[in-house]
Amino acid sequence: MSARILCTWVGIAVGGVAILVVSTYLISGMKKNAVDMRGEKEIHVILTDKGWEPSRVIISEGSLVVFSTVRPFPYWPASNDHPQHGIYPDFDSKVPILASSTWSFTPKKGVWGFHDHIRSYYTGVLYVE
Amino acid sequence: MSNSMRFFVRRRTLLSVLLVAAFVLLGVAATYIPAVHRYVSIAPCALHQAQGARQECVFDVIEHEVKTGTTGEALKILKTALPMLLAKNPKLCHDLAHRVGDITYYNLYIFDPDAVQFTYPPESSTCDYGFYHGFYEHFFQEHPSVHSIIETCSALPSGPEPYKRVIRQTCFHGAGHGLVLEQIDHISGAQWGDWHVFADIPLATCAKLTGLTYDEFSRCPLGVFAEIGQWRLLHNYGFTFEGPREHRFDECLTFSPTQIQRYCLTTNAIVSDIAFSVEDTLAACTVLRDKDNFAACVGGVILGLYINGADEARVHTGLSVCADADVVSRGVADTCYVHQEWALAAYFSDEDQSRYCELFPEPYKSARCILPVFQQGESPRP
Repeated sequence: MSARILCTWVGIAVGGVAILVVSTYLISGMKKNAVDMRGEKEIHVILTDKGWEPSRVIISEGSLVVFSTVRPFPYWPASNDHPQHGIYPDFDSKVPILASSTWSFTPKKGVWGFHDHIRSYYTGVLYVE
Repeated sequence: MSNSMRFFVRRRTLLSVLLVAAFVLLGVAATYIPAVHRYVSIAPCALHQAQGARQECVFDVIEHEVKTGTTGEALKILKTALPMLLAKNPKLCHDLAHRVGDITYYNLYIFDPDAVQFTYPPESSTCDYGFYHGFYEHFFQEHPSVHSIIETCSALPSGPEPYKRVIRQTCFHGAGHGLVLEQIDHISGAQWGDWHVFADIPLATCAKLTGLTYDEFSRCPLGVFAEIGQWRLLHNYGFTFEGPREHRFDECLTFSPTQIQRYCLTTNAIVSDIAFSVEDTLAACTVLRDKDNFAACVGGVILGLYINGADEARVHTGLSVCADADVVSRGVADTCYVHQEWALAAYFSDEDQSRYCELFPEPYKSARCILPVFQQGESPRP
């Protein structure tokens, strides 16, 4: 193999690895403020006056997410986009949940933005791995 | 070293230098040129195949901008990202801009009030002013008083620029939406689907807004019924479009005075266009006996036609609505064409607007048709 061909292949390999590393770094940056709760079977996401707590959470596939609120108002957990909830239609309580009640859901693998359908400024993200 | 090898090494060195220079230039451009910065900041999001993940990635960038920069720049990022976000669903545009408004409301009133710089650039009109729809509906959901509506909307910047006038009108429109949303906290499941339980208090609040132009005032009750119309579409809180077509607008006729019925008819006809079709909605309007109610409904049919897109086919559909036998025989064609004129000015380029105005039949051609929307006078009254 000539030196020229070898250099070309080494260049392509280094470039590919560099792109992969940079992409992985940039994408993983999305999760930088997320709470890592992988391995836990039941995750509690609570709506407070300050929003969902935790609002960004990394969970394992198969974990049950239990939504509740400490506010005295009904709430309505649903996946984005608001108001159609078309990205993951099953991730939607479909009706308001009374403040005294919980709503549970086991999301599939993926990145799922969600919100309170009644006050859609309360938002969060589930990273399901 | 042979001559060819020396040439190759020199060329490689040159390429390496050029590559490093390109990276440095890109870095400098990304830092100091806002347009490049926007592209660079959202570029990694394109690597996500799943729509949801891609969207969350872009909104991470947008929320960061809202928190550390300005709302105007956040909207510019959204505008830059739209081709990437709308590839699979072009109708999402307005909802995405809404979300920037939601994020801004959260950060301004709940997270860190001092961090948000609210600016009003022309880009804030992106996706039919969805940003202001989102922001103000939540603001008035949490601040549902006549005083806060007047004080907030009247304090908005005014000026000759048309978009500033729309921002003010959208503020009053958001008030209508927000006043209805506020009702949800107080209404039990047994009362769902009752129009008056949800709308009466918001409409009474709208009625107390005085000293406004027609375009400002009317946006409030129109917003009230737009929210309920959307719930019908989504089957929320017991509202639905299911049922016989001839009774689709019956609930509107239970409101008084008659002007309120007409706001209700216009907005519900707009949403009915989306739920069914223009032809079907027109047929539902036709059963309305009162001529002015029928006119309000037909106006809604025309406006709803362009909500999810403006193209020549829709213009022809609109013209066929205005030429419908019932519309003409009941003397509503004039109202229909006025709504067409307004929609052409609002949704099309100047060139297309002029071209489509030429398609109007002779008795309904007017010099007003080719004017920009804000020179046409008030919005057409339902």
